[in-house]
Amino acid sequence: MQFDFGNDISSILSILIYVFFFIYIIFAQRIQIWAMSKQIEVALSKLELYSSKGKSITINTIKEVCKCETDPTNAVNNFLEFFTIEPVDKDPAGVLKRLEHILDVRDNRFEMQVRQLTPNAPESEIQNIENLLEAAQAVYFIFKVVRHYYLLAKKSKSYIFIVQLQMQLNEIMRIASAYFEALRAFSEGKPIGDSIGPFIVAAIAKEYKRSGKPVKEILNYVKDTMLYELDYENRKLYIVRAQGPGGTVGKPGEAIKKLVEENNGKINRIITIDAGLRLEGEKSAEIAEGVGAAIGGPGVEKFKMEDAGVTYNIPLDAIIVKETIEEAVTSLKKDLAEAVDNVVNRVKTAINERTKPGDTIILAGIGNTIGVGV
Amino acid sequence: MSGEESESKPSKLSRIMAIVVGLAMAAGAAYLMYLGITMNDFLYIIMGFLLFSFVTTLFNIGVRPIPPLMKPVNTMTVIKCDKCGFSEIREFRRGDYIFKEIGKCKDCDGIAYIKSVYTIEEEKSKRSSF
Repeated sequence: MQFDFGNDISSILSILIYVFFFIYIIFAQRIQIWAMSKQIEVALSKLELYSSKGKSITINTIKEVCKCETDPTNAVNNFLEFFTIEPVDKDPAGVLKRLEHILDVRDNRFEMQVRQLTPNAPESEIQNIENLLEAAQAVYFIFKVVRHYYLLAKKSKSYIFIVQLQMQLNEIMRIASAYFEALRAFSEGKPIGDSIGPFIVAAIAKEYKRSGKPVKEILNYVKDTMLYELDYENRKLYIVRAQGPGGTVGKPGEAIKKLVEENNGKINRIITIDAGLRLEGEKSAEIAEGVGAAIGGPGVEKFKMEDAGVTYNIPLDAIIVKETIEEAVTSLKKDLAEAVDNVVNRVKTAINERTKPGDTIILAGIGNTIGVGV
Repeated sequence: MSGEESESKPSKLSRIMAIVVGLAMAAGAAYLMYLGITMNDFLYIIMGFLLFSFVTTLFNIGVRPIPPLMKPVNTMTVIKCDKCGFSEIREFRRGDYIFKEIGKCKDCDGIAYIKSVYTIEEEKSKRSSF
C-alpha cells in the first residue's frame, strides 16, 4: 500500500482524508443522532402546527355555533389538559364497572363544559363539539409526548431515546395526521368512516319505513342510544344504534343487555356491524363476517354484549367493513359509502340463513353516529 | 379549511444548497475512488467509500419537504326521492346529514331526503404486486 506525500495537493488531500476518517469514526454516532434529531425536529414542528391549528379550529367552531360574545380560548386551553385516570387493575374484579363509572363521569364533565360554552346550541352540535375537543386533545397529547421524549433525549444525550422516537415517527405522524383530519369532519358534522355501522342499520330501518311498513322508533332507549323495532320476514327485529346526527357512540352494550332482559333472554341471535381496521394489503370497503361482538372502545360495552350472550346462550355474529384508522376517523369515503347497500344485503342474507320465522333478533350498528340522522 | 394552511418547511434555496453540497461531496467520493483504482491505492478507495456512505446517510435521514397539512377534499351530498326515483348530487353544506328530509322533491310531490354524504379525495395510484 502506498501513500505519496511528495505532491502538495496530494499531501493536503491525504491529511484531510485522515482527519475526516478519524472524525467520522469518533463522531459517527453523534452525526447519526444529529441527523435523526433534525428529522424529529421537523416532525415536532409539524405536530405543533397540528396542535395549534386544531385548537384554533375548535375555538372558531365553538364561536360559530355559540354565536355569543364570550371567548372560549381559556376554556379550550383548560380542556386540552383534561385527563382521565384509569381504575386500578391489580385487583381485576369489577374493573369494568369502575371503568364505566369513570368514563360516565368523564362524559358528563365533557358535556357539561360544552353546554356552558355553547348554551344555546342544539344537542347534535354539542355532541359534535365534544368530538371536536377530543380530537384536538388527541393531537395535542401526541405533540406533548413526542416533545417530552425529544427534550428528554437531548437532556440525557440518550441515543436510545432518539433512535426509538425516530423509528416510530412515521406511525406517530400517521395517527396524528388522521386525528388532525378528523377535526374537519367533526367541525362540519360530516359522517366519518366509523359511522358506517349506524349508517347500515339505519338504512335497513329507513328502507322498511319508506316502503310503508310499521317501524317503531324509541329515542334515548338508553343514554344517547336509540331503538327501531320492526317485523322482518316474520321475525321480530330490534335495531340498536347510537342516536344521531350528533357525534356519539352511545351505549349499545347497555341497550342490548336491557333488550335481552326485557325479553327474558328470548333472543335468538345478536348481530353486530362495525367498521373493522384492515391490514395493509387488504382493500377498504371489503366486508367480512365472523363471530363475537364487533365493537371497539375500552371494553365496557363489549363486556355487556358478551355477558348477555353467555347468560342466555345467545349466538353473537359480527359483520365488519374494513377500513384504515385514517378512514375510520375522517370523513366517510365514497367507496365506503357505496359499500352500504352490499352490507345491507349481507345482513338480510345472514338473517334469512341463520334465523327462522318467529325468531327475535337484535341488530346493532356500532360506531360514531356523527352525520347520520335518526 | 382546505389546503390553505401555512407550512413550516425548509426554504427552496436551502434545499437547493443541500443538494448541491451533497452532489459535490458525492463527486469528491467518486474522485477518491477513481484515484484509488488508478493509483492502485486501497486507502483512497476506502476513503471514497466512507465519504459516499456519509453522503447517502445524510440524504436518507435528512429533512424532507412537508406535504400540505390537510388534504384537499370534496364532500358530496346525495339527494334522493324514492317516489319518482329523482337523484341529485351536490356539494355538502353545513347542516347536511344522512337521512335528513330536505323537503318536497323537485320532480314530484314526494319527500326528498339525503341518501348519503361522502368525500372524494385525489390519491396517487400506488403500484403493488399484492
